[in-house]
Amino acid sequence: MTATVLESQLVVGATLFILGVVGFLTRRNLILIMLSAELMLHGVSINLTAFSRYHGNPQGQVFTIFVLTIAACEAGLALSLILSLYQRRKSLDIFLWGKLGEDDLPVFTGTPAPPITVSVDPNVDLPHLTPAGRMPKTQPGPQTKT
Amino acid sequence: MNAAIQQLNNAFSLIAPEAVLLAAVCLIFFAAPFLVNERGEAPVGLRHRWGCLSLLALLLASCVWWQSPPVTRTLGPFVLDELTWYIRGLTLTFGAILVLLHWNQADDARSAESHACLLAILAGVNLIAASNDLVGLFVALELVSIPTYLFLLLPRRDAPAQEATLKYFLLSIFSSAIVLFGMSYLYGATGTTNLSGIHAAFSAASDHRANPLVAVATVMLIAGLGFRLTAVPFHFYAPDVFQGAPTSAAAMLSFVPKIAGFVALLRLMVPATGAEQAMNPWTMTPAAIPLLWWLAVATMFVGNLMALMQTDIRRLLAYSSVSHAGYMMVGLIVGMAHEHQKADVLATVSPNSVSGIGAMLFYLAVYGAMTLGTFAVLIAAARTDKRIESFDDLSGLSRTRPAMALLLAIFLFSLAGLPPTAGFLGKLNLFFAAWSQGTVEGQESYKWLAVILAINAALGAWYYLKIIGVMFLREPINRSQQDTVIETPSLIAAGLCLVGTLGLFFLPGWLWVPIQSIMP
Repeated sequence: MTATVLESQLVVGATLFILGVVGFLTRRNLILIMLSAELMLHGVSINLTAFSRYHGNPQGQVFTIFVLTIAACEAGLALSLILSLYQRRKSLDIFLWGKLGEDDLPVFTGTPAPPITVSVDPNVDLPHLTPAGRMPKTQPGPQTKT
Repeated sequence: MNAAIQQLNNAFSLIAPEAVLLAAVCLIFFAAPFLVNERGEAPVGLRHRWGCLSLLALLLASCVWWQSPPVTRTLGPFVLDELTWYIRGLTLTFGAILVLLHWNQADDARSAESHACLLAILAGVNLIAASNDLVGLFVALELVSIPTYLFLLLPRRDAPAQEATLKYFLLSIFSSAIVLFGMSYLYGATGTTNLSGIHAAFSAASDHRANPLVAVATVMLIAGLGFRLTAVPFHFYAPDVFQGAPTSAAAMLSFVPKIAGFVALLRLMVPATGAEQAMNPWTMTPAAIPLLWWLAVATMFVGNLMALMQTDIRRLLAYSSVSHAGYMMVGLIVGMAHEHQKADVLATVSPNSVSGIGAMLFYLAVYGAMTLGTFAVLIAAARTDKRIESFDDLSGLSRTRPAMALLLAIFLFSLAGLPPTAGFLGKLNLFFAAWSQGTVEGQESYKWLAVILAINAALGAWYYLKIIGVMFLREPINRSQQDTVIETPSLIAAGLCLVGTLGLFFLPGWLWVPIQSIMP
């Protein structure tokens, strides 16, 4: 493999890594922060496989497999941690988790994230399965309020 | 095929103590769910059994450690040299103290998992010391950091603990990615992931110009491992995490990640005993030394000056651990500079000067004894309803619990570096190592490092003595005798730390002799 191919692969790896860093530092959704960190790890994986091809030995690829495994472990633990955090504050906004800090420093809260409102419009035609069999007869009479 | 199995068996014999610890971890994780009912309740007193089991596992691992003396270095993935042997002894000893500290911190139902996490962390630190390969090093670093998240969260699952865990988790995964990026460039520059191979490649390339890949790798590795050392500017998480986490987890964080970080840096930057040291601009040392110099100075000053302003005792101890990381970095830098010199320059240095890496390893042990001792007293002196948080909780401790106050005063004296404690001896070693390196022609910056260390030791004494003043000179606030609890395990731990802190001052030899064999 020539050096130019290696160079372009390294550029892709470094770009992914830097995008991950930028995302990690700017996002405020916990899940997106975690995904940005994963992006950084996979930028490194591209580096490792590129160098592995360039040097012609399998050590970089073996390293990549270990990185993927550990990234999966981290993701599993991260999601369970995020779930337990969500259960307390009912939001994924990271600014809700800034209670600890220096006493004399102002706590940066930012604008509160808009609440997630899931409005279910009864008139919208949601996707549904193709009806099979006969349509059951609708009950006549007064509708009960639910 | 047979050769591969033979190699595997050989590699296994090099990491036998870790295998014992990890077997215990698996056993505890497997058995624990059967002893807890559906509502998450466990029989009262179950935590004592898990504590005993952890201590038993550590004792067994220590026996295996004692039976496996250092062997000559091979090209395999693991290495068992004098450094590995020393670090193993250190982690197993302080691991037992941490188990004692953690004894009553977790409730009965969660005690098993948190003890297992602690054992996994200790095994990870030992594997870092034993690894001879970038892959092994990375996996071992993760074996330290992944169980740490659980260890921070499991004992108390309230909002501050969750916030502390979140902060530690995010910064830890970020720093792991940075370390990994550095490792990938190191592999790219040398074409091998074996650490002996990497150092051999450095020596082979003696006539090359400085390699930009290696320079980037050095910066990334130091930045990523700086999170573990709590080096400024990567220390931001430390005070918040110490404040929110359970006391035993804060004690663990003040000490164990520092061993991990320093040993990983040693393994990466300094070739093993007897190996040929590369003297060319291709290695990591020329980029690492100026960077670490400035990081150490910033770490010492920021740690001590921020600690002066704290009123929360945990935040103060966090900044104190930051500043102590700075002192140890001085030893590391001096040692690396010493190793990097040509032999004819080395001959001009007086032969009985203290080696920087030796001083750092000595200080690591001393620091462990004094900081874990401080946390042990904080756990033991807590009241039933409230743990010790602000200075007010400690005021007048000499009236209500004089023995506790005296113990804490001794540990704080040691942290401040006053005789007759081991902290004094550790700081003196670091100072002399830096000073004697500074006397070499063209290396005067190390003399400045020694001076800055001395200034910071004086700065640090101020806030440690302030705590002692609060304990002995102020009146007790809202303290009555009946709401004290007897924390036998923490008291035992504090006693062991006291023996270490005072014993290493009067008999430093029995720690210094094995250190001398690491860095002749």
